[in-house]
Amino acid sequence: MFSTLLVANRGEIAVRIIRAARELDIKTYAIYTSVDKNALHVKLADEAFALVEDGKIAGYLDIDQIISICVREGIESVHPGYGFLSESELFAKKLTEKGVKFIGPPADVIELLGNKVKSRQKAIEAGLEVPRGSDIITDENDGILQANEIGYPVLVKAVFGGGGMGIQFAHSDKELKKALQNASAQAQAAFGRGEVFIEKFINQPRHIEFQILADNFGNVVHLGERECSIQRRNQKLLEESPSKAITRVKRNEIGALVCRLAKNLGYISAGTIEFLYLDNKVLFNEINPRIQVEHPVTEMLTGKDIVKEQIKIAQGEELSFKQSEIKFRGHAMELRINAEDPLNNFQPTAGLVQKFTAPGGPQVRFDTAIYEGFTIPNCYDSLIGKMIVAAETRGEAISRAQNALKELVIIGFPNNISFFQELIDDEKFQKGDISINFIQDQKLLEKLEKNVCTLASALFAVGLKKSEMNLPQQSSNWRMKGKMDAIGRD
Amino acid sequence: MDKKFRVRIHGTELDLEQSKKGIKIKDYYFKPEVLYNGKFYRVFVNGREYRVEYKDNTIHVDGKEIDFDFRSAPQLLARNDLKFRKGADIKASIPGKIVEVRVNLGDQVQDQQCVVVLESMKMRNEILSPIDGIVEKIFVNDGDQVSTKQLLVKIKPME
Repeated sequence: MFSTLLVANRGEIAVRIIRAARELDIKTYAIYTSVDKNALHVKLADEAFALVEDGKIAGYLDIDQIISICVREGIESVHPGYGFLSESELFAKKLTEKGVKFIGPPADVIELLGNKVKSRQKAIEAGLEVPRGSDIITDENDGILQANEIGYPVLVKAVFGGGGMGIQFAHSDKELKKALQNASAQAQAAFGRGEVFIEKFINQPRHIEFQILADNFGNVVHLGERECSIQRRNQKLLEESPSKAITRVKRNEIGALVCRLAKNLGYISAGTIEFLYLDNKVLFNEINPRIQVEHPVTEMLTGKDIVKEQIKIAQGEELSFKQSEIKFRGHAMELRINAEDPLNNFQPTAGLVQKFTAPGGPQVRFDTAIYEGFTIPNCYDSLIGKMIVAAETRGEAISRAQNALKELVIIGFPNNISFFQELIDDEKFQKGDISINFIQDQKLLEKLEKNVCTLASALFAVGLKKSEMNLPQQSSNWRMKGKMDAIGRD
Repeated sequence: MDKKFRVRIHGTELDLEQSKKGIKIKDYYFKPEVLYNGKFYRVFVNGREYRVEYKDNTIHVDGKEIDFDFRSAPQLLARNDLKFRKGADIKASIPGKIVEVRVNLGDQVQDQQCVVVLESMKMRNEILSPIDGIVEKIFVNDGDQVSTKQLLVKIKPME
């Protein structure tokens, strides 16, 4: 048992963790960098510590400094959230050495899962299907041999990478040579290790993942799937559950296998097993050993509090429910509201939040760390809010999301609210006919651009009309009345 | 003669031209019809209808507040002219990492040619030259971390 917790993160997830800890009567500590001194997680935590910045390491990644704060203040546990140090086995290991509880899987499990080739092997052993793939590629000739064995087109991926970064596509031997070089260079730059492997390219799959929870007593449950196919550049934008592609039988079957995989790994805490789905095949992709951005989708569907369960498991408690007690009710979806400009290639933006109104109503949840007057720094993730809605059916969830989007106002910098309006109104999306190429296939950005330009022209015309009417010689009210009468409006 | 404006909608800036043919934004032409009933405006454009209201200096479209503003653009044009004569300082528009410097000192570059690739938030952004010119100075190397508004490349205009 512990009664103090440091949140080694910022933004909405830091706020989320503080709330969960509060409900368990745990005292919370925040850390912050200078640009975050007015951030919501700092205000909400019981105590907060400024990170000393030397300009080189971004504060939230400063393992030694965070650990020394824990030791100095006698803090008993650390929740890493997602991103930053959440998948750092070094952080988990060092904390454990100092007697501070890391809220997440054991360091050696994180280390093993960081190796994508080994993860694939473990998945196969548990009985899951994987895409055809290679071992670590030793050199160019080996790569060509392996790629031909697997069959083009293929993907070249970082062995120690993840999150969709640096993946290269190759159609032929010639393309493969370049892909091997690029992938290796990018992996070296991003993850510090250049090893790559090759996997069969799956064309237009769905992205589906399973949520699990595992305690220290060998109990593992799955909380069903999330469909995360709506993405841009391998980054998720909208997640929902249940997936149209997963039947109850399939859910039980894959669910049992992911639980077996977790057991084999000695997995503890919350985790996610990602899959690619195509033509009734569910192919293992990778395991994310952390809480995920989209965990609220599952919380809305099952009524379970995943972050609270994570903390309780770390405190040494047994899981409070069995697999048979988990019920899935209705449909839930999450929209990731980002500070990014959908009209400019989703470029990240930032700035002062001039106006902010969150949506509300039954089964509408808005997880955020922004407030009016807060300046969003431009050096962190562009996620500024998660709008989660649930309803009895997918159709009702969609219309709830449409209405919630109408209520949601964020003014101060470009954001993707207008993009979601376009997406949610799309007929094919409403039918649930989606894949990871959906945004390109449906030309959503082109449609959005046209609609935004149309609205801009309308507002411009109103602006001109208004300024004309403010001039003293205005006399056109009669003419306008005539026009309105002519089209039958008042 | 067309009148040029710049509008800001949802925080994004767009160039707008007004002429007899209508309103041009990007490659689209619009002919909005505006009606006013003393309380709010109705705009009909491209088969759509918007209800626009002004309330205490804010604009509402179909009941939702919107971020919209416009100004005429002569000063923008003047600045462009000046830029052409003076050369251009290409700065980072977002923080990130330089993954590729595509030009060498003394290279001739064309308007909209990529000079630097900047990776930010897992995305590769091509940073373009705004003018025809010659690379006068390069301030960054592959792998450098840069912050917003940091000077990347200086382009001088061609003689």
